[in-house]
Amino acid sequence: MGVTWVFEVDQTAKSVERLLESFGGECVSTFAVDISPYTPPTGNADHASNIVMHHSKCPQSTFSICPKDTFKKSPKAVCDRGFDLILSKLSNGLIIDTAGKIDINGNEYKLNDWTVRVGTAVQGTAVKGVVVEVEYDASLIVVQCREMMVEFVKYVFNKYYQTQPEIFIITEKPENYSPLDTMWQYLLIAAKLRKKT
Amino acid sequence: MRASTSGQNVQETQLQTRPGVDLVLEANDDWKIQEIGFDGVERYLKPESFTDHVGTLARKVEWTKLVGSQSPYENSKVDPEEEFDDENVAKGSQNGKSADFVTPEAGPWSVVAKQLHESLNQLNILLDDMSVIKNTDYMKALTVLDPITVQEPSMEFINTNRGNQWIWKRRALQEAVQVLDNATKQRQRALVNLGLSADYIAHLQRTQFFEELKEMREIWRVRKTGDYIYGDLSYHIFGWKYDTPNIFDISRRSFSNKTENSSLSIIEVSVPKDLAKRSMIAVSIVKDEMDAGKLFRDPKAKKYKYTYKENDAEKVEVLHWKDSLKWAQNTLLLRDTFSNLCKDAIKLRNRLSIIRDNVLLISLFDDYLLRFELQWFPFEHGEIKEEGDVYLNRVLREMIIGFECTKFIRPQFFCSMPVTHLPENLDLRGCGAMTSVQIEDRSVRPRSILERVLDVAAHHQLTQIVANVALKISESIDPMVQHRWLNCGRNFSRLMFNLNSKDYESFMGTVRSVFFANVSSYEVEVEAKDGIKIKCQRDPKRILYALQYSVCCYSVSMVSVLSRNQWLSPFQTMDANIYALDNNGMTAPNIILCNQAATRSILFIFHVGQEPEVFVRKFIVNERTSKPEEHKWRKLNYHKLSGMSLCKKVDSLLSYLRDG
Amino acid sequence: MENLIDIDEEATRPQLSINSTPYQTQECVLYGSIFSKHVPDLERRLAGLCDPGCEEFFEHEMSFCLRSLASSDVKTDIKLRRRFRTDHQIQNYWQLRYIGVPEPDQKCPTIIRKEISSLVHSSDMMTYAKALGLRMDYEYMTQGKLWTKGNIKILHSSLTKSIRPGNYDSSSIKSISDSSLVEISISLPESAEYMPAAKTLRDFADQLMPLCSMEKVDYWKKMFSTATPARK
Repeated sequence: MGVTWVFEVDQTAKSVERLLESFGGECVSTFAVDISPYTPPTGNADHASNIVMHHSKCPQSTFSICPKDTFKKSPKAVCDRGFDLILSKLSNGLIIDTAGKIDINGNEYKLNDWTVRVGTAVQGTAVKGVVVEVEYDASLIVVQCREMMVEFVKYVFNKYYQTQPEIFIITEKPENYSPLDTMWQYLLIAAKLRKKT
Repeated sequence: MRASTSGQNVQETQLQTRPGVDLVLEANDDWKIQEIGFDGVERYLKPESFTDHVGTLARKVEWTKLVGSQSPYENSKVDPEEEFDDENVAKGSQNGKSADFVTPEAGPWSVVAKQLHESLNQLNILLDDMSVIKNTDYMKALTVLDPITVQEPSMEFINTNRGNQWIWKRRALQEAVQVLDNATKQRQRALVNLGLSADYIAHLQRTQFFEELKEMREIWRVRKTGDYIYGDLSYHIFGWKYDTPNIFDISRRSFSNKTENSSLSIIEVSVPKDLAKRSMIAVSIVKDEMDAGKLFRDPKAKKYKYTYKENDAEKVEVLHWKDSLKWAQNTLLLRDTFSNLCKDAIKLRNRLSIIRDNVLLISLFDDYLLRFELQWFPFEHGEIKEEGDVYLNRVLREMIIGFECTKFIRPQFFCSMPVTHLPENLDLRGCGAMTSVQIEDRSVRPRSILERVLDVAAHHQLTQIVANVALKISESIDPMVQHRWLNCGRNFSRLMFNLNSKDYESFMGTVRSVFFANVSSYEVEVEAKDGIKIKCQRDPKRILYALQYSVCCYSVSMVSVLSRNQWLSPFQTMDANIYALDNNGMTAPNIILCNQAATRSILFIFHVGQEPEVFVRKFIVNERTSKPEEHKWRKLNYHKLSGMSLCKKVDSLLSYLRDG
Repeated sequence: MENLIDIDEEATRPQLSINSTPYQTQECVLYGSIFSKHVPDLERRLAGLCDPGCEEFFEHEMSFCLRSLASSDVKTDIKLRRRFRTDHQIQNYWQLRYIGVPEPDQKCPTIIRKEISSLVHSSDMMTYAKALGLRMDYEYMTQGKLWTKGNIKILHSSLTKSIRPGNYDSSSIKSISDSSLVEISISLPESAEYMPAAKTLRDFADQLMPLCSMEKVDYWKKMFSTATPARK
């Protein structure tokens, strides 16, 4: 998994796809991301909610983050799918918030070293927006490809490049990009989308 | 005691009138029992010592009577009785008593009645005694027949009792002595008789049996359940053993005749009847042609079809276990392997296969078939001729063993996780956030034995084809072609060809004289030194063609090198084309030279696999004005050129045309 | 032949099926104990019975339970396990494990229970566990060897604990008893028929007999008798 930038767009998924195709992008497959919050039963707020996410790119993994102010501070873990089964056993303390679950489904485009995923975010039955994930497959180090990614987004969409993700801004020391960084971006977007009406 | 009392009685009867019969029942020499408590404890009276005796007697003396009640105590008065001994004292007292306490007599028979009464009393006492004795168990006398029931001593008592320990030690020692004695006796007897006793033989056989069993355990799994000793023929290293169909029984051979058959093993094994045959799998590559001979077995032929019959049971019995077990296990292994190969063959969708009568034919490539044959031979000694391709046989064997030595089930990352079949590098697929591509890459399973054997066999066959071609091309002496194997592998081999022109080695410095043939399991390619590859698939003709073409290219270079040779004949190379085609459309590298004086052109055409053609014409100065009929290429007879080799001929031709 | 995995079957579908979730399994287990000084005897016996080769392990297990304010009577235990090893590459990997209540099957010769395990990678597992609402009950370290025979897994381990919680260096580790724990188990797919496997396991366990008696711990009875009053 290379360095990835996830952002919300105000276009329709179709228009973004057409845009990508005009640049030579090739639709290779579909993808799916789901973000489900698990919250303690009512009246028990002594521990925070836990966001459980899946990404079709890592079919055997479950990502779990208990969001705090920043990514660094949030307790987080990458697990295998057995975690989902264990979570169901923890129903006394953590209950899935079905209403708050957001599913993002869409297509995956390949453009040389770039993988772009365009998906429609749906909460329940309500469409909440369109999410684009731009992944530069060739690198794992953010500082290496940050500028190039900004340029890519600027070139393709000619907007959205101003609001860069947290990981792009905080780079005191070059750390390897991890899939959890991607999922954190999804988490933030999902939180934003949930508030949207 | 009794003596003394009876003595007294006697004395009394003598002295007095008889006081009746005094009957006493007592032990003949023992302390008197004073009383027997309710707890059964007997209390004894201590026997009187002499002083006690004197004391009691003294107490009986009625001193007042002797000295008179009134008379004061005076020693002098005692004097007359100074010589009183025991007897006298007794007498005196008796006398005194009888005199003093004579009861008035109530008739003449009263004394008799009294004595009779006394006697009866004594009898009563005796009766009581008898009844006590009779009713009290421990006092009963034992007869000889009665078993002695000793009260069970406590364990502690036994253990601590030194006497018991001595007894035990002694007993143990005696047993040891007995064994040793027996052994020496047997040995002596054996030595003396030279003929062997039955006991000794039995003893020898027993030892031999255990020794052989020990030896057997070093190679075979042997187990004992109840009275049965049996072993396991199965060859699996991992998983369950002692599968019932693969068990052999171990028993001791009973020799009917003691002296014969000393060479026979004392252990007799009975292998499962279906495994009592010798087997071999022959792997060979056959060509699917009309004249390939019989690919299958003749259904009527008896060869390789050996089955166990009752009538050779005796023969099987006399086999040594070392042989019979080895053969039986091999049969089991090969039988399983063959059935696995057949199963694999059926599963391979892209290859045709036929199975009949223990023969498996599977297509290798083109016309070639790979043939596996499971052969059965009689279960007896003798050399078995190895058929098929020895190399392939060994490869198959090695793969079977490799498969058996592979542990497919392994524990996962943590010991508390279930065991798994998955490859180890997939353990972290979840928590390592592997992408689906990574997971697929890492979950590649090992290929089946059959597929691997097919690859090796295909490579083997291709190598042989290439080797044949290489031999053919090495026959050429002009230029000289040498080849050697750079790399010989299971699935990939590389052959190097080296070209050499005799006597012109000094010119070869810059000429590419080396090229290669790469052989994989699927195809052969000829590779020039500059990396250009000619694919030849699996066709020997194309391989030969590619090799000859490489030789032609070499010849072109050689001619050009010779022509540039300054001191001899400085020629100009006008044109050289290794991709040129001849009139038939076949590749024919050519080269055109022109002498320094620009009078002659020479053309060499190297047809692949044929003699070179040499043409000469006048040099065309102006292409436009020249007339084609004036400048015809004149073909020279290659054979008639002077010199034996190409280089020599070129050399002499060039020197001839140098100035002309 | 049953020990052979069907490698050919795998060959026809050479890729791991994405949907295969071997995470939830059914476990047949037997427990026993042996004095540590007799472990070499046990190892010799196992070497004779099992597949060649064994693996050593040294793992740290912490048992957590979910404490919720709602006074629920069911306590969910979750085990966390990590490996002690100096190899830095495998640091921060944890096993999250849920062990179900044993099946109340009196006929079955072994304990049968559901088991879910999940491998987790987290750089701050303790805070994460806290965030999930898990509180630690007890912890221990287990060090021993793992043997296999086909799909049977045999573990024998000595249990130790730390006298200063949080410190796991050799000076603060103390052995819990002078016995070693022996555990024999088979993992089966969820909802598979467990009786044949349980019998096989029992048969195998009986072969350790004079050294170590493997028992079916009758949790159910105990748990039942203590659980009933708690409910009232």
